[in-house]
Amino acid sequence: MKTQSYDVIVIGAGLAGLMAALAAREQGAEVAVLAEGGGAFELSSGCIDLFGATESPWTAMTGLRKHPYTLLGAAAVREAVSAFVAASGRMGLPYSEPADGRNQVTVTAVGNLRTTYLPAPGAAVIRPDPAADPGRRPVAVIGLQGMKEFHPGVVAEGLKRALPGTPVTARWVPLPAGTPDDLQPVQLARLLEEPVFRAKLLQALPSVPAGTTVLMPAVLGLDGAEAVRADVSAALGAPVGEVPLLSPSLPGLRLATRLYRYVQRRGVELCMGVQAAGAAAEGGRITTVTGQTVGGPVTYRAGAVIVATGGLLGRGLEVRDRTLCETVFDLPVEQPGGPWADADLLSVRGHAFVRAGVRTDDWLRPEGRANLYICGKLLAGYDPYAEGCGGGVAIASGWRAGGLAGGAVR
Amino acid sequence: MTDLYDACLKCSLCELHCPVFRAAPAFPGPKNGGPGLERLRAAGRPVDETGLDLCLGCRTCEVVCPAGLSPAALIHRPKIEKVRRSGLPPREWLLTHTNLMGEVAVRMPRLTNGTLSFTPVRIGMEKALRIARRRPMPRYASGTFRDWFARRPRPWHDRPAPNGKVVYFHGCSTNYMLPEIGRHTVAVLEHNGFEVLLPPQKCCGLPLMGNGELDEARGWARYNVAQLKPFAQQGIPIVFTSTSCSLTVKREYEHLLGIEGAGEVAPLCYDLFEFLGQLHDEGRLRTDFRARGEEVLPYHQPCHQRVQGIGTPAVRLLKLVPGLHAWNMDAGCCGASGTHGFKREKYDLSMLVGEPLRQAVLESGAHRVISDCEACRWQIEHLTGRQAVHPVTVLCEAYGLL
Repeated sequence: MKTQSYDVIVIGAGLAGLMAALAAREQGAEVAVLAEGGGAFELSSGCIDLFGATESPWTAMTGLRKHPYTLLGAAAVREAVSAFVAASGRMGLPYSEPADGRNQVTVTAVGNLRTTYLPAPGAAVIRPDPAADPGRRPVAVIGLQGMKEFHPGVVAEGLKRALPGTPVTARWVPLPAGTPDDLQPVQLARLLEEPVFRAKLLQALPSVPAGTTVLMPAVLGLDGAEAVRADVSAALGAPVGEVPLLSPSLPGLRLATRLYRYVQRRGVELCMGVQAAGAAAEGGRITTVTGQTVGGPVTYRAGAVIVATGGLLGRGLEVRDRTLCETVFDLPVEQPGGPWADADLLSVRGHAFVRAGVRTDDWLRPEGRANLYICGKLLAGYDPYAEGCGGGVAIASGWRAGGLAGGAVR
Repeated sequence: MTDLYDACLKCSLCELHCPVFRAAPAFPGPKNGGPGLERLRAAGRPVDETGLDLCLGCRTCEVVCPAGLSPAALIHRPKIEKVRRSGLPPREWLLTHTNLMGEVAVRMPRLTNGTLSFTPVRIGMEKALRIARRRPMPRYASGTFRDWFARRPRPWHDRPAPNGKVVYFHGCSTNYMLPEIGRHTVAVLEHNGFEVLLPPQKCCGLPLMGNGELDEARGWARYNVAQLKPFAQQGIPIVFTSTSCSLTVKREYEHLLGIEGAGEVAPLCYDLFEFLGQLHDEGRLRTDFRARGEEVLPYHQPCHQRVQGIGTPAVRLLKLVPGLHAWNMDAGCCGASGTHGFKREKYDLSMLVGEPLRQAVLESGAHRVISDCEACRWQIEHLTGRQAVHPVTVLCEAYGLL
């Protein structure tokens, strides 16, 4: 029988799982992340939402009940967000926390305003409050001709409605001659990292008056995005901000790339291609986890196990016989109380099934499990889509679960 | 697994992560080229297979697919069909019969290596066979690993080895080109009290499979399974030092080739470091490492190892050696992908795909890099001019066995 031993096993390689792995590693634990595949980074805008479409997420989260944030407490959430921000700096993709603790405002691909707590590095951030921006800085939206994912006119029209009185212009810039037609954003982003292609595109860029807010589609480079943005800003004469596009998103990919590298640099072992398939327990303690790999089953021994497998989307939950079930340990799942879904697909109240998940004690452990910790979307009691708190809960619960698990095995 | 093409949600994560898609617009990509075309085929529609051949078979799409599909396997189907109809072209035949070439080359390595590095010869090869002249040819050794093994005194000939027996599947590159990797593996295993067994073996068949020739690969696979199965049935572990061989025997023998008995062999197959890591967990690995200087040792994980779900066992083990600072760079596919990088029309693409890795190696400042796969190592040396070694060599140094 194939066996491997670690202090802490994390199942799931999304944002919650990786934060848990980092926190456990910080406690000196030997940590492995077992994952079937990657997280949902690339399906997000790369921005980290903490809470709500409100001005202050910290105020908004104080009134919550039975929410992961209430289990964790504001101090733990603050500590985790700071840990993420610090780590992002060390991984070369620095997110910055707003000094006043207020949500920041970014722009969507149809020109709507969208609040977030930690915008993706390079994302366009604007100040919608006229008092904060008395000069009414003009906005220039620049599209790359041939790209079907971003229409500068659409963004500009949206912005004119959202920011009445602000001068907004839209224009197309042609891609260099000979560029293949119908490129996907990831292909364009890679081309922009090629010096020759980039230089040609820079020549085509207009120069804008100093003080203009310039918006361009989020295709400005892959891993070398910082350099691409700097060159584009220099050519324009004003700093460029990226507008995230439909998924899969490049800002999400940039975060995933850097975070995967960073956790490994910190000594976390990343085991992709493992399907966690069950566990053995003794007296309420998990002793081993079984994983399926291409070379047959592997038994992983661990002092503590963190489950970061996600909800329905990540397949931490699945529906069997009209019941939501947890997939690895068959943990009890709090089912939706009434109808699973709201009649309105895009209801602002969200859907009840999204809030289903595993209930835990204050230490993120399901009842009767001494060394099993839950984090991320598998937790019951929150709706990341309706509440705008997916990234925040992932970071805060992951960091806390990892700290507890790492501390417990030392 | 590969028949569930309809499970594709068109989330495009595979396109986002595919190292070829981002570099080669002519490649339709794993989503459209895999489940996309499969849908058309199933509906009996005409299918445009242009550009599918650019797939490197790195399986990144398989790792990232949330639906559990293997787009790479679907992309590969037309090539298999084409070879079934008209056989392997001469170049593909040459590149995939390393074992046959090796038997001749190791008898006259100077002549072979000299010829293969002689520019006019390479120009001719490029013209006649479309083998990229800029791609350095691996150098053949003077004598095979198996010859060395057969001639050496066997340490456990008169008594059982304290830790038992291990079967070693060395693969073609170790036998004909890099016999030192075999010698180092034997040294490390014997140092840890194992008797190393070397049953007869043929090429694992991956180069053949990668070029679409499954029938001949099946013959080799049946032979290898027949050789390995008796040991597997006795519970004797089988270790590999080439990640492509290990992936092939662990999975493709059963899944792609449908070889009877392969399912019994796979659970006993270990990457060498996966095996040593398990020994360490059981407290059976010697850690009598010699004092040495500090060294940063960036590791490149071969794509064919990543998909195996074994993590990065070489990194984990080498971290036990005082002074060694190993970590997985995680900088993507090297771009070589076995025989692909030798093909003229794929040379530039292979260099483009390897660019992030080249930058990561140079940024690390290390004077050498470790990786378990020989094709990755050759590519890293070609990309960066830095030395690339197998982790077993570093372990051998640490034990003071070199």
